[in-house]
Amino acid sequence: MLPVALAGNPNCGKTSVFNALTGLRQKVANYPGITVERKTGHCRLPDGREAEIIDLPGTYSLIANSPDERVAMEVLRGLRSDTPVPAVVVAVVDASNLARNLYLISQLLELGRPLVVALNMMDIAERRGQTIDIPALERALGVAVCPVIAHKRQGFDRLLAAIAQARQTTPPPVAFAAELLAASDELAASLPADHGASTPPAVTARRLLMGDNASDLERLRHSEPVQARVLAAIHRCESQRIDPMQADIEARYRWIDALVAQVVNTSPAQQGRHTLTERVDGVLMHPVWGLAIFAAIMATLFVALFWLAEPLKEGLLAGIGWLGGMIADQLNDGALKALIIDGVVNGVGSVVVFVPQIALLFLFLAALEDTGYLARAAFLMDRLLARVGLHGKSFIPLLSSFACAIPGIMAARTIDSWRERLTTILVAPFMSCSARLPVYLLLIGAFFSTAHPVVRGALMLGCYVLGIVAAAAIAWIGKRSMAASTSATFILEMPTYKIPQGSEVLRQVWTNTTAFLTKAGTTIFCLCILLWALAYFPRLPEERLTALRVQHQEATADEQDLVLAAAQLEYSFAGRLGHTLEPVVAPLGYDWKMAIGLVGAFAAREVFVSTMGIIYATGDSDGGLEKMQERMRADRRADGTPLWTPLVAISLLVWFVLAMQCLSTVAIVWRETNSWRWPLIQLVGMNAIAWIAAFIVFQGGRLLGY
Amino acid sequence: MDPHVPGAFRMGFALYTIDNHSQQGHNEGMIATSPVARPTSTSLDRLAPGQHGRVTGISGLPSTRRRLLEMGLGHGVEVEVLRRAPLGDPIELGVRGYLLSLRLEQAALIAIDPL
Repeated sequence: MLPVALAGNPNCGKTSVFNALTGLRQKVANYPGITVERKTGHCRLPDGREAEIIDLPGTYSLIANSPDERVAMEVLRGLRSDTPVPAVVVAVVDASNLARNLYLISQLLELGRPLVVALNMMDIAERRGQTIDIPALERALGVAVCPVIAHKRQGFDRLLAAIAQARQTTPPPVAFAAELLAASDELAASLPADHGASTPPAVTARRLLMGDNASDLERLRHSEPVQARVLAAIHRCESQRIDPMQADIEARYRWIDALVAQVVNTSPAQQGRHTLTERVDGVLMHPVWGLAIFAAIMATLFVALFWLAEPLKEGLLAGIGWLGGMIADQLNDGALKALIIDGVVNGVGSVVVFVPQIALLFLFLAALEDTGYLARAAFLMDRLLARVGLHGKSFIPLLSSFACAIPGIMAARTIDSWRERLTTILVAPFMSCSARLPVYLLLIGAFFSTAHPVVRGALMLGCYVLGIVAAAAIAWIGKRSMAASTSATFILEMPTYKIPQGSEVLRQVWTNTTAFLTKAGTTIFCLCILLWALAYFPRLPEERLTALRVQHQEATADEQDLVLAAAQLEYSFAGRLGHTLEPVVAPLGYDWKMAIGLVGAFAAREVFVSTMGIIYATGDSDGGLEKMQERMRADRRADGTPLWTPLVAISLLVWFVLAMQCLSTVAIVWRETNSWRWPLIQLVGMNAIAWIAAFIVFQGGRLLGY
Repeated sequence: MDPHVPGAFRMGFALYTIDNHSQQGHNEGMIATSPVARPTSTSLDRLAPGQHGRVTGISGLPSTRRRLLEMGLGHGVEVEVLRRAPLGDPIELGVRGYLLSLRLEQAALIAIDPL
């Protein structure tokens, strides 16, 4: 199988090219040890060979600025043991943006690997009145240049043929400054034979002078004599008034500018005119209109998340329940049947219940990103976010976290600065995720049912606002307490606006949703099974069962079953755990039943609702929610006062807004930060904050007489 | 706070300005060792929306300078400031035929000759 690497700048349509080449034969995984996504796919070349296409993260240069770019560079230089050295590199270039894209090409040409250029977005270039002399470009670069329009799937026959016949490249004829060449030649001659770098000495020397930090230069960077010579070379250049890094980059751009002048022809009518994108930006980035449109888009997103997702969710749950019932009817009573109905069905249900909202959010975000709007959103939000120690690019992770923090936290990978990225990851769980919604609905519905709908709506909104405020506060505290080093850079390209491609967007949604299901879904499912076991064992002794049946012999068979179920729960490990935890949560107004609910919520927060369902013996029948709420209101403490009061409900709401409960999220934070420290701090810290806040709310409310 | 740049290559802050009066071909990559403010030169953060300018130099941390240079903001390149964000920061500029946005803090590192 021929390994083919797909490289290029961000926003050049690389993903479209990848999709066009591989169709549905794609796989998404992770590079081991780090958090960058690894996308591979297969395609068949005209000569019959199978090619494995690796879609690399977008990068502007082979000198990496972020984990994403580092991976791309390492694969291209053949430095990763988990990835085969590319036999062919396909460089996707944005034809409407040729100059800057050619910078990466100038570096790729120095790699020596067979290279093919896919000149994408030819339609945009044409719209801008630009014509490109492809044969001249091919001659100048020494490689095949294939014009494609990826989203229309045009030009791919030629591209595939070019890949099959790709030849090794020669370095571009860049005229580096004489002083730079002299210094680098001298350095190159002095490099030890076993330097370990992946490039020939001449190129290696220039990379060292540039401050390249790639892993293949480790040995040289740690060698004292080599370091000394590098510094000496740099000082020599500086004394001749040359900065090696600047000289290198500017020499390349001189070559690029001459090349572009030669091959690109802009029609006079178009010269100097602002592009459509710039004119649209005039509205979308306008201080007043821009923000208004932004707010409207966000509002639409939230409304859609709540209203559209609900019926889908109901449908899915009903389907799973029906399926579980069918299976259960075939089995005899016993542990297995209970496992299937209560454990597996509930477990799958707990996972599946997320899917409508997450898929909907992914759909929204993928469509917005495809249009190019998300970069503008980052631009609009940067000042606000930077004030609390976050970054404009934090906007997307935080927005995603309103569906589920797991994809949100993963999306923080685009933030180059470690400090801002970490802060984003740590505060993302404060954005009320879709799992909290059933809990909010249960509590607000049960204890504010007589209140005006506006009050109920305000309470719901209040939960979301509380989360946002807490996130801002924690982020701001983090910013103040961390060493006041230089602020992060915000260097972000604003891509050309385009109409989102339905198939691309849907494919993205599919990939992200299945990734969520495998990452979070399996954890949630396993924890639900564990929870089921904790609630199922040990079994109530026979005598107790009989005694209860006698006690309730006037009740219907269904009601008896439910009473027995509640008793079983109290007798089980879960019940005992609840009783043990009661002293810890009593100051917040909770009792052992709620404690069990909170324990269950560590698997997935909405398990709280189903746990309450079991405790209040209402099962999953229709009308179960209202009945459960009735019973909750009727429940009494030992001293006769109501257990569930509006104050207790609010205290619980505050807990759920602020507490870190989802163990799947903890696992993802561990993966993304590559250490135990941060997820632990997050787990302990957030729960401590939740406890203190709920305490203040409950005790404060008590003092005020509620 | 770039964890990937080894100590030996942290050259720290240095103000690199380009001698504007030398000939074109000999200029690239050249530095002056003293920070000289030319009477007509300013920095990118001080340009108003709609103004054009030519880059004369970039200062700052090596990794920031490198990235700005790699994005095309080299000596002699013409930029147009298009707009500022509603709260004043970041700014959007047109450079080398595409749109780039920078925080004012980064824009301040770029020395400009207004056109």
